[in-house]
Amino acid sequence: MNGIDGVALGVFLFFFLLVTVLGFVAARWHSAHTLDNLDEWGLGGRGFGTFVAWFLIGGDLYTAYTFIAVPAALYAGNAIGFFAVPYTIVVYPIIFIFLPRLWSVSHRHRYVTPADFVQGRYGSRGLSLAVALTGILATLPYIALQLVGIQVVLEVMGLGGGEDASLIERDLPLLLAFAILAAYTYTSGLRAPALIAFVKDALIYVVILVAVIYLPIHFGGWGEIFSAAGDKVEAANEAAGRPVAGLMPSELAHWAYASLALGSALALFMYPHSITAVLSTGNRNVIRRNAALLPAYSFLLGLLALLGYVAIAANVDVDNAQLAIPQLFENEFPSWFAGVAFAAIGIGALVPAAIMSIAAANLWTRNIYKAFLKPDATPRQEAQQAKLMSLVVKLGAVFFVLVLPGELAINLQLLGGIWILQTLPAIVIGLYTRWLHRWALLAGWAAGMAYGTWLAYQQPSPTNPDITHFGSSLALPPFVDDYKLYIALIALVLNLLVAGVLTVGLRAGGVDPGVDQTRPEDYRADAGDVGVEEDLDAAEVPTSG
Amino acid sequence: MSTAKPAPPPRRRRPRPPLPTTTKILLAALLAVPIVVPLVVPLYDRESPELGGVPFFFWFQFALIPVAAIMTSAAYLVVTRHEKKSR
Repeated sequence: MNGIDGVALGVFLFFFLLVTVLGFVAARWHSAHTLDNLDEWGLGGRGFGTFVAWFLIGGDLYTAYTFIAVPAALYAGNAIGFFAVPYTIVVYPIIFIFLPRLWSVSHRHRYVTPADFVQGRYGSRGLSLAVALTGILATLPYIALQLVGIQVVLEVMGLGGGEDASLIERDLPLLLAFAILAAYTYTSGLRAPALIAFVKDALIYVVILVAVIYLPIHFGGWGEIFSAAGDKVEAANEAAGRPVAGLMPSELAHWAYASLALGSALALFMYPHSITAVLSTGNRNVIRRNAALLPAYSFLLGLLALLGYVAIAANVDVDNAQLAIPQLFENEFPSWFAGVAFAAIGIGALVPAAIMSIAAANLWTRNIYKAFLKPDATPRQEAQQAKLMSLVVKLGAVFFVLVLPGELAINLQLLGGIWILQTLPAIVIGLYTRWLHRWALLAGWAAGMAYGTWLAYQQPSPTNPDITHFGSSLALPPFVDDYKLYIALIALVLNLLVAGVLTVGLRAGGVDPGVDQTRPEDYRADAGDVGVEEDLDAAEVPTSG
Repeated sequence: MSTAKPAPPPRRRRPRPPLPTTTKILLAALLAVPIVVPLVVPLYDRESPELGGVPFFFWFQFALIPVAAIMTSAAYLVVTRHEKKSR
């Protein structure tokens, strides 16, 4: 890489300082008298309205890594990467259906995490622990990938690059950024990312809109851009002697495309950080309204994806496709605007990283610390534990990215999507029916986790012959030899089969199904409703029993 | 966790009954469009007709986004109208 771009770096630092100040000020925003409990620290007071929630959920789901990886896939000639668009179309009507129920029952019983709900619904500490561990496991590599997003922009700005730089020299800016993030997450909790999300999204919208209006005009229109991209794809296919790239998915890839979209959509709101954002809202209609409003981000994501083709037309030439978009901005825009774009990506990493670490901390505190280690923890101790854990989680992510090989975070992120979908039966089906037996759900979860991991391990990379494991999120389902599907969905089918069959057996055998603390009305409750029973408060404390 | 729990909100409304079946069917029909259409890939995996140089595959999926938003908004209106009535 070339030297440091002073102007771009200056603009980047300005925005970084701005969000740092906001992050600390956030502690006083709509503040309660104390942040010393999880409702306040971990869920921002449970009172966010439609407007704040739109920014928070948008800032949470559309991460820096997405902004880097989706256009990178198209730049590299992997058109299936555009599945991110149907994925983010399909996801909102799906959450419109089930999330209001999860919100209601969580509001009624003061659940903070999805594992809290599973504990209350099934009375099974084992199943709740499985859901919590899956959530933490799936979230860690996701946080690590946010660091990769920051690394990429730092590298294009000329910071930290260079093979010969020492470990400290290379990663100091990244460590500083993360230390500051950790500090204000610790003090302000979920309010920090909620406030910073405004800056993030404003920057992202400005940057993308300018880019998709200016760049196509500059390069002679979309027709020229697509034909340039087509030429590159053809050249790649000729060089390889077989179809390795395409502008659009091949016919064989239709099932892959659809299953990635559906599987990812179903998995998205199983991730603890999505549920944290949802539970922070003030009433159940906030989520419904957002299901109708959030597609605005899908539009943005689609436009951004097409920038991958714009980068081809602009003759951006990078070995690491992830650098394509930052390099495009560096080449085609004045330094100050490139700085704004880099700030957008950098801050785009901070917001989800903060929410993810809070979500993982909530899971640890509620479903491991309080459930197993210290059942009599006071709310104050819970909050303290969660704050500490949010630091530990971030340290773990830093360790991941800096010490372990880079592919590991990406492989684990791929696995994370497969794993987290295996919690869907306990959470989503549990919102509608108590029929599935708790031990059957646990067995189905274990089967889905093991089978999904094994399938992913076996996949070689379709393009790089050096990669023999974890090379793809697609696999041939059993008894099929031409259409590959998203591994997460294949594993989910096995999970559901095991859970269904065992439920029949366990119910016939009269095995104790556990105590259900919830009532049908709880799933329709809204803020301000009459309690179902006056003594509900006694029943709603998810004790460790 | 009972000690520092925020004060319960003022209790004014009774829990609402489940949605009637006709409303549920209407909601399912509205939401099925944005869930199912994007998953039928053969429907739109083609180059023509292009729009301003953009292949059909891409602009069709962009066009689905406002459709999905409209359908989900309609579902929102159906649900909230029903909940107001049943209160």
